[in-house]
Amino acid sequence: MSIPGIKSKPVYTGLTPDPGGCQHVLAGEGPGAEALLRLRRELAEGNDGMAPEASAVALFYTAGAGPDQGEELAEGGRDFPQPWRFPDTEGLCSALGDYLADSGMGVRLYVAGSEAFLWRVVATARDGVGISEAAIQMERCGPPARPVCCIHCKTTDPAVSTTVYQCPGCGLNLFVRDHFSRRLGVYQGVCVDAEAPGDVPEPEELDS
Amino acid sequence: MITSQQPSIPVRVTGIDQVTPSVKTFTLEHTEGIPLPCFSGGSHVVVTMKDAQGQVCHRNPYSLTSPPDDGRCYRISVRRDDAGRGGSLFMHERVGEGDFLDISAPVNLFPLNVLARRHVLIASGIGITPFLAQMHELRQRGVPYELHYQFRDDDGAPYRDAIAAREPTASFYESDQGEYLDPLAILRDQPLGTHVYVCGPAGLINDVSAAATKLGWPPRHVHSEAFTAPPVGEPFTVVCHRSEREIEVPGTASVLEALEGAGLEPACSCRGGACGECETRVLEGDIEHHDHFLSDDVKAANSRMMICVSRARTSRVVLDL
Amino acid sequence: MTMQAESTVAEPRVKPVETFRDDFTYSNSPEAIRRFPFPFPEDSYMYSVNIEPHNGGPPGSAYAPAFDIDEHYLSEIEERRKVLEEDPSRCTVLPHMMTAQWDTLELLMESLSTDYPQHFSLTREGDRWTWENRLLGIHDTFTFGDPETLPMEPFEYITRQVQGDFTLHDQRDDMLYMDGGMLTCQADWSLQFDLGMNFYEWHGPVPRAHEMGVFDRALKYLLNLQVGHPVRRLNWTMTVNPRMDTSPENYHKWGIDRATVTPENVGDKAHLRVELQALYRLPRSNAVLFSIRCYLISVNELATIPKWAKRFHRVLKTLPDDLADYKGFIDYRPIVVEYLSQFDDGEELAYGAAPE
Repeated sequence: MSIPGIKSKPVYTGLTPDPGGCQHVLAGEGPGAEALLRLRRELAEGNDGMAPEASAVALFYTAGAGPDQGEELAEGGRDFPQPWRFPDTEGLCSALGDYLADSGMGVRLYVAGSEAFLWRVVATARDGVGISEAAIQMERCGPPARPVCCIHCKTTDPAVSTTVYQCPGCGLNLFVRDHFSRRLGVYQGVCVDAEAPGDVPEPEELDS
Repeated sequence: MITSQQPSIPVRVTGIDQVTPSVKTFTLEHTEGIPLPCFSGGSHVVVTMKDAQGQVCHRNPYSLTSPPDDGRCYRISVRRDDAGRGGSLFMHERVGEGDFLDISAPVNLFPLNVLARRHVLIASGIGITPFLAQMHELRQRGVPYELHYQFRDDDGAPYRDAIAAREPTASFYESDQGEYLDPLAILRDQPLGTHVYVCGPAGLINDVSAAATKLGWPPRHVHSEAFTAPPVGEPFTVVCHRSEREIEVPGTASVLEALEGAGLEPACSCRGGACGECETRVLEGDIEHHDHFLSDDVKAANSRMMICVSRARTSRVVLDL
Repeated sequence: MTMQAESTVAEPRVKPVETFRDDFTYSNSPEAIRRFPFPFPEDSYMYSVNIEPHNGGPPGSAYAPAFDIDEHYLSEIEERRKVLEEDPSRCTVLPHMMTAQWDTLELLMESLSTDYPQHFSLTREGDRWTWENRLLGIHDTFTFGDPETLPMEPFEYITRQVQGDFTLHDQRDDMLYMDGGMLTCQADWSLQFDLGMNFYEWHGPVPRAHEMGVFDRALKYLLNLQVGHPVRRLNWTMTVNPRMDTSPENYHKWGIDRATVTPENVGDKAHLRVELQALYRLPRSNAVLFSIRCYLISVNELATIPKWAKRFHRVLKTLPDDLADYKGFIDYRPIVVEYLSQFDDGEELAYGAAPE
């Protein structure tokens, strides 16, 4: 069932300032802070002297599962926009949705954090406000754990680190396919021993 | 595989309205009185015109302007172009009420994006035509939109009064009175999820695209009616490599039209360089590209051409036909 | 919109309900076998853009009507009802596809009442439409365009009455997005999961085809699909038992079937599964409707046609391993090939998929 070259698997690149944007919104979780710090510095340095005004940059941050690097994001003085900090992803997304609803077409959204966080934020911005995925950049940070949805009972585990794993919903042993739904923000987990019940391979670490 | 020479729909001209001195609107009904297919706003049909001997003399695409969910008739508006290749003159001077024409099924190369939260429609002159059907659709779906309509003078402003009566959000700009639409001002404060559509001369399309880019709009939120009439140019010779034929392309006909005149039936659909259906491999020769389909790399490589609008720079081209 | 003279469409002698699960009472009559859409004109198989106009076919064949109604009508409708009862999400349409839902309803009602006037009729008085489906005892009057006047959304309403799966594709940015569907007899892919995917993502796991450029060409072709000019192609795989619902959702229940094929039972258990796929440009929405009509035939039923037994033997024997793996029958393929070898004398077969 492991088939190379599945086209739905997202490819994440590092965040880089998009000079075409007029308003830059940064959202991060846990270790994603480092990517946001780097990006904020690059934005401030500007491209050919075209650095956006501090008011055109907004930062949303939650520690999530940690580590909490909110203090580092807050450093840098008045010239840098200060982060809005939230206790969890839900709170961050709610505030981000309100912020974007008042924003214009020139917004660029930069997201850094776990894969589950990236797609939770994308859903907020894309489905909630109508921002185009072309205006969103993502950088996956932290361990390569994947959000996986069990195809059988539809339970999503936000951070699966191995294929095979046991579904917390139905208890089936699931193989993690590279098939990815951008709408749901999840990979597909499929019963691994359906054709030979009990014949469950050893779990392997997911490395990408 | 299918050829694109799809069976056409026979229609009768049941009404002609002179909406401005240079624009006529034609009402078309199926010759058998049966309903025509419904369509989506922005669709066009290709009208086939035949001369007195029954020979095809022109095939021109025109936007459908009637309500898209009404299959009783179609309406198209034709602006008379005295300097053009003759299709619009034929429609103005040779087509009368009761005459028969053949049209293609409706094709939409300028559709509304159904995910858009808001639509901004920008038209110039006869470029208003696709928006007439689209506004009907948007009103029915209850999606917010605004229209900006620029024209030179009364003659260049078909349907202005009808639109003014029906569209409270429409803005009009009469350039002879010094009124010009300002793309930057129109696009500046649009909310996320907005799409803009522009139909008019290349200059207006470029101005709107430039304003959208300056304001940071992602390119996929900017749409233009990419349709172009085949340009006139120098005559040249087309060599069809596979069928081993040589065909002369006159200055006033496209490669496609010349091939059709010689009895060939190459695949094609829009005849405006937009749909990609007539993409043809070029084996020899330099191409003057006029289409909106091929990428710049492919155009530069001269390896492919859209035979409905593009021409040869050389006196001879060899095509994989 | 329909293009068939009714005289060329087979009169379906609809059987009482048979089952596609548990006791598997499904079978094909000799007439159904002869009109089975056998997909192999040659002795070997490889992907291609095998698209042709869907404008009829030989009289009585599965290709003759726009949407084929055959002897399994009641059985497949009942199976669909059972699947939806267990999992209503097998029919899902994204909100922006409402116009495409009505387009689908119109296309199916017009086609069925033209091809099968003895079973279906549609009366239109302006927006007031009356639909009669005598096979299911349905007689409804509703207002076209007003979902409140139907017992459920229009797409689900009509596709519950037609054999085969359906998907709806929105066209935007020169791409097709699968934004809705009714999927109860699919070959191992999930509507809920794949909903919203673009053409490439949706076809993601198919080996070889991407590299061959098959999807690039198919997509370009479908983007230019015209109203009134549908196209079709065949796809195929194999299924153990006549099971319609080979969904990934229930894979943990049916996957075990694949280990039950033996030399003794292979003739009755192993089935060739063929999808007759037809694609329609929908007029009001500019969306594309994809109908995926599934036909199942056991190896023994297929072997009653000598030419098909020989040809299927050769196709299976020479099919590359990655395709057999992708299609899910690599483990029991040797048993099927061995069984079919008894019918294959090596005779040279004429090109074509017809029974003779």
